[in-house]
Amino acid sequence: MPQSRWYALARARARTDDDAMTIHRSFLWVIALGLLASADTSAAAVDHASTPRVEATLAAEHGTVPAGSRSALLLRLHIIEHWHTYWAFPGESGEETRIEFVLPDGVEIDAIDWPVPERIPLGPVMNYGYEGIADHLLPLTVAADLAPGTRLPIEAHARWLVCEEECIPEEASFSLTLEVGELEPTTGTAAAFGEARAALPLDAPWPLEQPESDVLRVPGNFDPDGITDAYFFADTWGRIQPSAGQSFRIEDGVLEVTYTPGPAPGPLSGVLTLVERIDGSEQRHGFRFSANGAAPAGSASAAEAGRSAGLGLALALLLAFAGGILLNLMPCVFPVLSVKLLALTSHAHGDPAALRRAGYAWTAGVLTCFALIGLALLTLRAGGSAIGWGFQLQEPRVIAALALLFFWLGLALSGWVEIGTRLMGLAGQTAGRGGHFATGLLAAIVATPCTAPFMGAAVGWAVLQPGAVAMSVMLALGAGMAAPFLALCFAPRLLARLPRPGPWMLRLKELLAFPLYASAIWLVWVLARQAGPDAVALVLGGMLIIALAVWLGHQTRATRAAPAVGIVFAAGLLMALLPGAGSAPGSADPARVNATRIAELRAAGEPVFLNLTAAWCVTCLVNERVALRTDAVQDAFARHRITYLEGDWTDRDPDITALLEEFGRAGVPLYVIYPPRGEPRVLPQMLTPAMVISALEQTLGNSARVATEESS
Amino acid sequence: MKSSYRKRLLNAGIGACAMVIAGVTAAAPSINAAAPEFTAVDSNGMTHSLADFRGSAVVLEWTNHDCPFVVKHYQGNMQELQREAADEGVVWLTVISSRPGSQGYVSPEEANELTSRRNAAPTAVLLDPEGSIGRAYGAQVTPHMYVIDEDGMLVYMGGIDDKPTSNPQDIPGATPYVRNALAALAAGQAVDPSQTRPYGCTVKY
Repeated sequence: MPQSRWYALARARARTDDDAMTIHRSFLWVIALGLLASADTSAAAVDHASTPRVEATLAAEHGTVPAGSRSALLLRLHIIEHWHTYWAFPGESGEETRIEFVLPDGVEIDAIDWPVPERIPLGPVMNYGYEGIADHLLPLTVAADLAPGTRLPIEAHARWLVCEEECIPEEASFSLTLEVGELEPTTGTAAAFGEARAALPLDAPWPLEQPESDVLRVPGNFDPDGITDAYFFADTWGRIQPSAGQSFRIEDGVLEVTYTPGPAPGPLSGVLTLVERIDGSEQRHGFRFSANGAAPAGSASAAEAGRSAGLGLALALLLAFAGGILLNLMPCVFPVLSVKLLALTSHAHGDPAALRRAGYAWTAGVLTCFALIGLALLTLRAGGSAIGWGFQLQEPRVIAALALLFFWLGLALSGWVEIGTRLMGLAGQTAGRGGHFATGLLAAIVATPCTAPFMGAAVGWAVLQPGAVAMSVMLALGAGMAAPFLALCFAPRLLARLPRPGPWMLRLKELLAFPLYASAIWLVWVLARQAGPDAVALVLGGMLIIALAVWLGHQTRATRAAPAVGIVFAAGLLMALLPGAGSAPGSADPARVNATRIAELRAAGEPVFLNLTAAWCVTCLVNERVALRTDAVQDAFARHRITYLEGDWTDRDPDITALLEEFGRAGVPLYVIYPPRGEPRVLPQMLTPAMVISALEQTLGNSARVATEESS
Repeated sequence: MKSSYRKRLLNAGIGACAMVIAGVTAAAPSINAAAPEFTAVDSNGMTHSLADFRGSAVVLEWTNHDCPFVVKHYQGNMQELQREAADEGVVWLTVISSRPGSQGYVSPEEANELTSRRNAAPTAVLLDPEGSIGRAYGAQVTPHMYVIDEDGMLVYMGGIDDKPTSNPQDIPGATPYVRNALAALAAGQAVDPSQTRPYGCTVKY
């Protein structure tokens, strides 16, 4: 009975401390192996290959993919200057890029989604292909019956013909390993996938008519003066003679392209490119026509990849809720909330129902504000603005209005403004539900400058998600912010535990005015960075008007109408005079920070430290002060010959937004160490000098070693 | 209105110009019409005219020995076709239209050296550094293949087969258009297809 003997032995040994140690140690091993395995997974979602003329990358959009969902792979070819690779139909010479896969059971990969091609004439021959970057999106499907944790090894072999005048066939093999699990984007690939999708042709919304053997007609509503070029890339040999050229005209909104038919005429399919003149710049768009005039399937589906799955939404909601609770302690919110609380304590023995109604109204106010911000964000994004979280602070008018609001709230807490009593809810029961709602709204508004800097990373993720998810996270944040106050309203006994009301309340209220004045100063400073000294003068003038209005109100014993009129007047004046977003004087910075510049520096063998920051980002400023600008870190930068790049996101900047998205972020701060070769390393959002220095050693020490090995 | 009219006129003009240029540079001959006549000097200094070969079928093969698509077929397939043609009495003319200094341009000695090294069996290698034969036939790529019958009529033009790749592994499964065309000629049948997609590297005019 070997089995029972083993069992007895195990029981006997299990009692000894020695054995306990063994178990403990093996447990540690399991954890260590698990960590290694997970690190391996993320590393295996991207694979690189170099040929003499092409840097090739095969990347999975998601390292872990839920069963029954769709994702995508991207084969990106960085082609050296003057050389090109080919479209699905290469034109009169050349060969399209191909990729073959060896796939595990349950994984399917569709044909390449080709980006809009370029015309590449070579002597008398016309080719269709790509220069610079050629992206090949490959929609991927994972079967529904795969168990979580299943590893999905993918072997790929790509061949391409790369030509200048001469042509060289090149090929490369790639191995990726995906895993079945919660959908998780692969770090550092978001921008590439975004660009690849942006370069795809759209499914044409118009039919394609072929009235004559050498004419194609697209009945749209085209503007004859707006379209400067039209060209049809037929995707089948023999339909159109590529080298023969095409001409177009627009009559009554109908586009007609005249071409020379090839030796095998027939129904046309392919991509129509239109060059439109929009606001003085020319934009090229591609529209796909399939053979029967209907849009081909399976093209737009890749864009939906990753949206269908669960995304760990529950976790995001939980984090947002916790973050919301934390918001109550932020310097912008704390004073307002404290005063509100103090007001409640004086009514702790009042009507519990009224108290509850106050709680509801406050919560509704907070949620309304967060919903409005979320709505604004989603609308702007849908409109194509390159914005991320914190966008509201990239608008100088918003900053100016907030500065005035904080100044006025400060005056209220200092006891200068009577209106404060009402709005701050000090009137307690006498303030109706509207009053509580208004205070909730106000608290959420004053929270916004704090949300952006402190909650950037968390909210940032949500913002990149589809509308419903983004909105749920925003509301969870609001719910979290409202929760402590609501809880107190439902637990009058808890409220009774707070210190007894007394004259100390007045002192505390007056003291709490100072964080608000400080917040106002900070916002004025941000404004100075955004819109220059004129804007500062304007907003300080606005404060003067507010102060004057308050003083006049006291002199004339007028109602609160006087200060209110003053504020409206000041605000109106400001909005009229302030410049809009993006017109900041500093935006013409000669040293632009963007992906190209980083790539150039790395190609030149220089390691780069990237700091994406904003004047309104408190975390960023703290990190710069306590870590990045210290002598120790500066010395380490010098020792590693780091090129330090600082991207300022105080104003809108699509280049910086693109960099943030590349790392799956929608807001600052972001710190990245780029070794000259190898994977960039992202640092945490809270820095210490030691952390920065050791990260530099690890990342660049490694790359230095790799370089020596290669040269030896 | 005026500006839009002017633009239309301009567009039409540009289009017309493009077509005229294209017509000059890529005047493809027609199937079942007389193949363009030419006279050229081969790698041994001999002069050949197309008219000299009346009574025999003629294959024209555009080549550039460094082109990957040519390399693909010179791993055996092209030589085999050349020998089959020779056995049937078909004249095989390999044409090099690369301009001097560009890829594929060779001196007569180099051309002969390539023939012997690759164990190729063309009737002659024609040197066309000015590209005049190439332009007359609208040859766009290497290898671009043409078959002319005993009466000097063009009966086939296009690819060597139907697999437009540079991968030699694609040869066994491909439909060999040129071989089929020669077989049809020998059997007295019509060549079908008579025009296919030529594929390969651009001819370096």
